[in-house]
Amino acid sequence: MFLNRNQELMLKGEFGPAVQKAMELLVALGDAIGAEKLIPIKSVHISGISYSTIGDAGLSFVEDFASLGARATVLSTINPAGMDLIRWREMGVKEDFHSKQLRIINSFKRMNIKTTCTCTPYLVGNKPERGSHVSWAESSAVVYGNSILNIKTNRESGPSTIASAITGLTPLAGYHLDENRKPSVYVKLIGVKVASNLIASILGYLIGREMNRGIPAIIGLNVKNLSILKSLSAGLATSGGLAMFTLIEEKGNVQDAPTMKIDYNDINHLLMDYPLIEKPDLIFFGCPHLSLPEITYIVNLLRGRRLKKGMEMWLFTSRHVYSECLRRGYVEVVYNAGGKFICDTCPVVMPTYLIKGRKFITNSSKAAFYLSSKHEASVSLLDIKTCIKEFTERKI
Amino acid sequence: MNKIILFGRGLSKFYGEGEALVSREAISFFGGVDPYSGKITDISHHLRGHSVKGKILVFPHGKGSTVGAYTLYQMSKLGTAPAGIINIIADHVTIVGCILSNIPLIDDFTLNPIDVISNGDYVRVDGRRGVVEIVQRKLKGNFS
Repeated sequence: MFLNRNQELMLKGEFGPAVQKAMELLVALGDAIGAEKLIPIKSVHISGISYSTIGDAGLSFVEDFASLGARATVLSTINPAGMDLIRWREMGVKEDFHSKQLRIINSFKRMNIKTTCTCTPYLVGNKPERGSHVSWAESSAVVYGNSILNIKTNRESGPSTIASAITGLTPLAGYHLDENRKPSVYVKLIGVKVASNLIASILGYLIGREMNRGIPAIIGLNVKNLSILKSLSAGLATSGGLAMFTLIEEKGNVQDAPTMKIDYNDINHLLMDYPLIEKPDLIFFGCPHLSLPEITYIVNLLRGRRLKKGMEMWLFTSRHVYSECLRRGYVEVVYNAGGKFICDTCPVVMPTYLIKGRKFITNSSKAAFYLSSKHEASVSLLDIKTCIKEFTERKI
Repeated sequence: MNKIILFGRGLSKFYGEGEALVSREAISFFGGVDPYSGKITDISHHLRGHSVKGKILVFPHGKGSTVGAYTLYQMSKLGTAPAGIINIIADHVTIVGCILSNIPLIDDFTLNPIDVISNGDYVRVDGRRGVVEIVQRKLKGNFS
């Protein structure tokens, strides 16, 4: 890979050991994927923040970087941690987990990285202008970024995004190149109406599972609702190695490109993998983290109602969006209905001892997959409206 | 038997050898593999319950979470990592995970390694040269 003079000096250690270590990783990655050079980026989003996901090995990795004097040189945000940073005790998080989680968060603070703790960086100010090259991890944000924000990123990993935060660089390859951003498969929907986050999330999961790689162009899916597109992105990123999709009105004159068909039965089949279990005890919305419009929708459905006996409700969002909910009185409505907001984290990355054995209802195929595979929890998939109708009652 | 040699692209320049575990499906190391035991936990995966520890793990490419690189790194520290990885086309998450963890990784072969290598075959993976050698065939007991 070609390095300019400044980059050579970075690699030699002229700018300190943290920059050197970061360059070594990016050069090894760039050489492996055949990148011709490194390019400057506008922003970074880092995954692998929860102690539950990266363990002691990840903790040392992050702490070592901070101790070497690493500092972010571009706008950098981070994914959810393993606990609400303020109300962790109330959640049942143990002291040991808390202290290790704080060491991870403090390492990022020392590196000048914004400790946003959300999987939706684009809702908390990390939203570069269209066409920008960025280095993002968090699979759902990668797909949303490439597809909806029109920014350019590969499906980066936790470590490579830290290296990019420090150097402000990423290898020029893959989705940074326009020739690699063209559709490879056309997806035709037959009788599938994408009117909820649930259906979008399942549709994404099915396309990702079928394709595994490449870029799907979904024909005639006229969805403008950004929350629904966020769910579609998360689903796509869960079951496959996809980094991008496009929405097109019609296939046009492309002759030979393969076409995939998805009909309502396909959606139903996946729903049947997560049927309504007996006596569910926990409703969970916010994978990916809830946006303000989604919370407004939930709050309006909850007004004047309360959860039925034995049922809990957790709403997950970023601290940024939560502050706005406080201001608007949404937090009170949710609290009065018997539910609660949890910030900075999500069940996928919380410690297993808080999740295992719980019987979840959620509207996210991503959450369903990770909760059952990683935490051995039971999961039912249901949309928000049905869920609230079914499991709340009118207050007297 | 004569050993079979496959030429690919060495992505992570280390050396490893061991018995092959062949997955027809993509793998998410985060959530899909338990780093403490090395066992596959992905509920949708055909090799659920099998351990990748010390194996030459053959799979098409990574899927799902971008935290997978840390999972591989964690596994290497815990001694549960695969001895080598062979992909059809590797993704960034697997590449970075292997580079950090000293796990050899090779992809981009002229033949599909998933068709050529069988479970239990004894395989050498030389990431420096991009060469995979199948030195001994397992004749029976395939479960893929």
